[in-house]
Amino acid sequence: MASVTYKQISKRFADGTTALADFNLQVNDGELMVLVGPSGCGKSTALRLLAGLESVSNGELLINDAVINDLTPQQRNIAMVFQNYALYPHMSVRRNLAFPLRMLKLPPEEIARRIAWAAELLQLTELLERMPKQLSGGQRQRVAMGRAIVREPRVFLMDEPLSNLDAKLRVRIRTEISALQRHLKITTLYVTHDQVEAMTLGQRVAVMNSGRLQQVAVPQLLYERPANIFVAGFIGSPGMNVFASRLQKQASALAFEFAGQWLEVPRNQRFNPEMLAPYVDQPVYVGLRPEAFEPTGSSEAQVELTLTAVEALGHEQLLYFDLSQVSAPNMIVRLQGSSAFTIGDKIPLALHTTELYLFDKMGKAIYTRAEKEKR
Amino acid sequence: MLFALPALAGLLMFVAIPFLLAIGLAFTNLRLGSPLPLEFVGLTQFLRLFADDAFARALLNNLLFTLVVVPVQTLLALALALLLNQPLKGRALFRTLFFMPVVFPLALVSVVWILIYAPGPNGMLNSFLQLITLGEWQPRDFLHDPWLALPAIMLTSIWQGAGFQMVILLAGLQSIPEELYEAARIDGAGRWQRFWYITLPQLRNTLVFVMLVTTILAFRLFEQVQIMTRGGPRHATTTIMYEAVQAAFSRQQVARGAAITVIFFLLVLLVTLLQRRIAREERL
Repeated sequence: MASVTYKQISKRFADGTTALADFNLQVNDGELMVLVGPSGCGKSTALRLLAGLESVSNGELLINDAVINDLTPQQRNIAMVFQNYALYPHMSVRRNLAFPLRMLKLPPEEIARRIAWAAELLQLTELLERMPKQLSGGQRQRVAMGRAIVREPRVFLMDEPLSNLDAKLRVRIRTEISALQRHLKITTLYVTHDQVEAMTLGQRVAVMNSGRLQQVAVPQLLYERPANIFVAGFIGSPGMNVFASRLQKQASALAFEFAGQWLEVPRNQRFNPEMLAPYVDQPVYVGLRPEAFEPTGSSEAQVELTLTAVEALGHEQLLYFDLSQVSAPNMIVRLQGSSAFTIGDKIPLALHTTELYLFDKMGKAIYTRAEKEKR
Repeated sequence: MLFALPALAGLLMFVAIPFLLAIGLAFTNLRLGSPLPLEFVGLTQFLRLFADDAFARALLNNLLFTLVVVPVQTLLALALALLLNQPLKGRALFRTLFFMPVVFPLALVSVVWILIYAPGPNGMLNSFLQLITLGEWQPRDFLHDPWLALPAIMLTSIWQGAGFQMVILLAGLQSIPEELYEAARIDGAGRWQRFWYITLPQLRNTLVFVMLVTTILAFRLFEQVQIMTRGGPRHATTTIMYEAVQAAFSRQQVARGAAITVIFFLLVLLVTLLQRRIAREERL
């Protein structure tokens, strides 16, 4: 039972690189929080700081409102699953599981009881006498999980625990981890670079980029109300298309420029003319999800673009358009089904402008106040 | 196959044939310059050897030397390797310094240590010992003292050999994944427990290898003895190799020398088999 707080944490390494800057995050008791971001964004550093493997440069780390900055890893009662599992290669599965318990100097009966419990839970009972070398990737992963849970730690840390597994196994173990975490209710921080993993696993997700926290929200909200261009482009597969554009006042409404045309900004819960007034005749960015397009003209907002590549995924297709003349190198459109397209053709596309996003010139998303409060 | 011929020929000429010849000669009475005809004498050479006090002393000395030098030198090298595996300032300098004795020729090292062990109050070690005991130390002639000559040679050998072991152990230490230590720290292991449960088991095969090599080198002990004491005083520092060289080259008793090398070969073989037995169990 523990909550974790990062209070204005920063971390600079001896070589001068800043891995984390002014990082604030609150992880609630029993919550599974996913830290996601591209490599080098500081997510692993955040985890290693909490584990005590690195020291904090500035700020305070708290577990249950107690500052733990100066505690050694041994004193923190935190368990961690490493990317390469870090099983002790010279110890059998049983001794690997027993190791943290022996360090706690628990009586042998208690050690045996807890190993039996964890082995049962993770289906390791048959494997207890094997050496790590004799296990498959998925089995090693489960042993690493077992070694972490036998201690009944306050906080459970996982550093890309699935990245060494093949795609199928990854999906299966992902659901297993989720179920296990709900069952044990241990506060968990989970680091991954894979946004699908983050969205499916996280009760809340913290998106990070170059050492800074971008947005913390439940997965659906990250997708529907990204806080800035980075989050919009990172979440979703593929991510949101973002183009440099302008806003202009036209007869009936505001319009935005897209692929050489002026299209109307919709009136909905996200936008109204009053709040957009300061952005008129200013450079802005428009964002359109790959899902916001349709092949035929049922909507009045329509553009014709030249197709540069097609990726067929069976149930859907990804169409690539070259928009270099309008400043964005590539636009990706996702269509259901499998119609035949020829590369080089001009494809008429209908836009659902209701799914339009606007960002200011600093990349921050523009929403009405009501929407901001929802976030 | 064709291209392997030159190498095979070399192997045959310089390794296989001398090896077989040595085994063959061990069962003869060959003595250079002797008027007696070459004869097959069976185990006579071996029986004579085992009746010889000097050879018995040589075996005992080799055994003592091995029993002292291998553990002491390995522990010292392990301690040095552990120290120099830390992020210390001037680490590269210390590594070089500790490795340097390995690079010096043994003959040179021996001569330098003769100077260190020089008798009388002006000898380096004697005057040093006098200094730190405030004049209590009575100067000794280390290399001519039946009780001190062998320990003196041991000390020289340890000083000379520890650097080599250190480098190998250092390589072994550096191949241990950092993650294992991190996992152990998180699992609650302190410094000593990390050494005992991670470093030692992970270093096991390197340690076995290092000890094997040192054991074989210990059995081959020769140069220091030849230069520093000539086996004396009264066989106090003689060794198997020294006896073999003495027999074959000083006294022209080729057959006796061959017999000694056969015994030497069997001893080394025994040590190697023992080592493989120990190392095999946990090869990972």
